[in-house]
Amino acid sequence: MEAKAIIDAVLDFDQEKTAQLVRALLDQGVDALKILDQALIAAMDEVGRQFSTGDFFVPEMLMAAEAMHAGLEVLGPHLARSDIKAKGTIVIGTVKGDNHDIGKNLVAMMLECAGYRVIDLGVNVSKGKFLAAAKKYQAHIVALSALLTTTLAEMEAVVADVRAKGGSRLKTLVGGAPVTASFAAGIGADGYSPDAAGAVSVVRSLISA
Amino acid sequence: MHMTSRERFLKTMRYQKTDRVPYFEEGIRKDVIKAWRTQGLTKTAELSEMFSTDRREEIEVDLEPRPKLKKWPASRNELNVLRKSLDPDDSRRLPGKWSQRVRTWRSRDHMLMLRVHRGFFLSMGVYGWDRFSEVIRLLIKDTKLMREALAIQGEFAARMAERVLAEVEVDAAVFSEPIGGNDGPLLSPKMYEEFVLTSYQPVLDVLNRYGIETIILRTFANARILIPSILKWGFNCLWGCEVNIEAMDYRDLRREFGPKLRLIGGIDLDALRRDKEAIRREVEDKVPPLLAGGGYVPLADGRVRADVPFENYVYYRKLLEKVTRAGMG
Repeated sequence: MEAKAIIDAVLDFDQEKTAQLVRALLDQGVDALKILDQALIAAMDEVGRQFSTGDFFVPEMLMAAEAMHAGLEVLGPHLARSDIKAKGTIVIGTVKGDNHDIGKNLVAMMLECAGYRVIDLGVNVSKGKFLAAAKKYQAHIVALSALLTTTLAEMEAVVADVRAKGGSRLKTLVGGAPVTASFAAGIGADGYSPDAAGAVSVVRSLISA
Repeated sequence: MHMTSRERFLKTMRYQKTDRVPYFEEGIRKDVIKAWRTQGLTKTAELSEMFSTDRREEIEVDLEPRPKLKKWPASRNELNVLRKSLDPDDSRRLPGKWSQRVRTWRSRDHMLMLRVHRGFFLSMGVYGWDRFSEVIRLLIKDTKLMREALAIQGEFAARMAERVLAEVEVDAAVFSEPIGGNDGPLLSPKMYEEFVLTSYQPVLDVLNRYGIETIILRTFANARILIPSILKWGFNCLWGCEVNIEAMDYRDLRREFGPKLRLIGGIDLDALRRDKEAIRREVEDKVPPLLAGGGYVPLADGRVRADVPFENYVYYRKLLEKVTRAGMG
C-alpha cells in the first residue's frame, strides 16, 4: 500500500490529492481500515509530532487536518459498511460561563483525525449536560475547555461531578489558556494537555489505561 | 527626590535612577470592589489611597471597522469594503471630549500610553471558530489576500496613531495580541514576521518619527519564541498577561534578552488567589532580581478578579511596596 504518498499529501495540505490517493487505494481493493490507520491517522500522528517539535503551528495543523478529512470523506462509506468502531468516544465542551470555542474545536478536530468519535456539546455547557451526554453516548472521556480564569471553578465542579457520578471508566481531560498541569492535578482531572496535538496522546493513554 | 508617576515610568524604561518603581493597578473592576466591600474594604476606602499607586491611562482609539462588517473579507473583492470601513479621518474614532482631553494631557503628571493595534486575529475579525479557520486557510492558501488585508489594517492603524501623536505626547505605544496559546503562539515566528510584523511597519515608522521610546507588545499568550522577532522589528518591551507563568518567567527572559527587553508584569496572579505564603514566595523570589536589572514594572500578570480574596490583595500590595523599596536601597 502507498501509505507514504497519502501521508505526504496530508503534510502538503493537499485535499484533492489526498482524496484521489485514497480513492485509488480503495479501487485497488485495499482495506479501508488499513488506509485509515496506516495512512490517514499515521499522517496526523506525524502532524502531532511536528507540532510538538515546533516545526508545525496551528495553521499547518489545521490545514493538514482538512486534507486528512478530505481523505476520510472518501473512506467514510467503506468504513460504515465494515462496521468499524471508533477508537473511543469523547464528549467535549467549553464549560459554563465561557463562550470561547477555538481551542476546544482544535482539540475536537485533532481527536477526530486520530480516529475517535467526538460529541461536541459546544460552548457555555452546564455541568449536568457533560455527564448526561457521557452516559448517553457511553463516552470514555469528558474533555473540558476554559479560557477565562473565572470559569476554572466551573471546570473543577464538572470534574468533581464526573468523578462522583460517572463511574471509574469515565475519565476527564482538561485544557485551556489558564489551565496548568498543577491546576489539573489539583482538581483531580485524569488528564491535561497544553495543546490540541498533545491531547491526542493523553486520550490514547487514558483510554488504554 | 520625588518624581511624578510619568517621570517614574519614563526613567524606569530608560534604566535611570528613580525614587521607586511605578506601581500600577491591575485593572480592578467594580464587581471585584463590590466583593471586597464584604471582605473588609470599607465603604469609603479607595485602593489608590490605601496603597502607593501610579496612575496609568491608555488612549483607546476606535480601530474597528465603521460600520461593522457583515462579512469579513475572504476574497479580493471584499477588501474594498474593509478599506472603506477604516477611515482614519472619521472623528468618531477618537475618544469623546477629545480637544478637552488633549489640553489636560499636556500638563499631566501621569503615564499615558496609546493602544495602536489590536493584534493579528482581532484585526482580521476573529472572534470565534468560523472566522478563525477561514483566516488560517487564507494564511496558507491565499497569502496575497492576507497580506493585502493586513496592509490595509496596518496603514489605517498608522494614520490613527499619527492623528493622536500630532496632538499628544504619549509615553508608550501598545500593540495588543490577545489570541494565542498557553504553550506557545498560534503562528510560527516566521509567519508572524512575514505577515504580522511586516504589516506593523507603517505604525512602527510613525512611532519612530514621533520619538516614542517604549514600544510594548502586550500578549495574552505564551509569546516567548516571538521575542527575537519583535526585538528585531523595534519593540523593546513585553507585557505578558494571563500566560503560562512558568514558560514566561521574566527572570529567564531577562537572562536571555538582557536590557533590550523592558518588562511589565511577571507576577503570577495565581499566587494572589492562593495564600500569603504563595504571594510571599512569588514576590520575594521574582521581583528583587528584576528590579536590580532595571527597566521593570512589577505587576500581576492579569486582571485581578473576584476570586482574589481582599486580604491576599492587601498583603500583596504591602509586600510589593516593602520589597521594591528595599530593592531600591
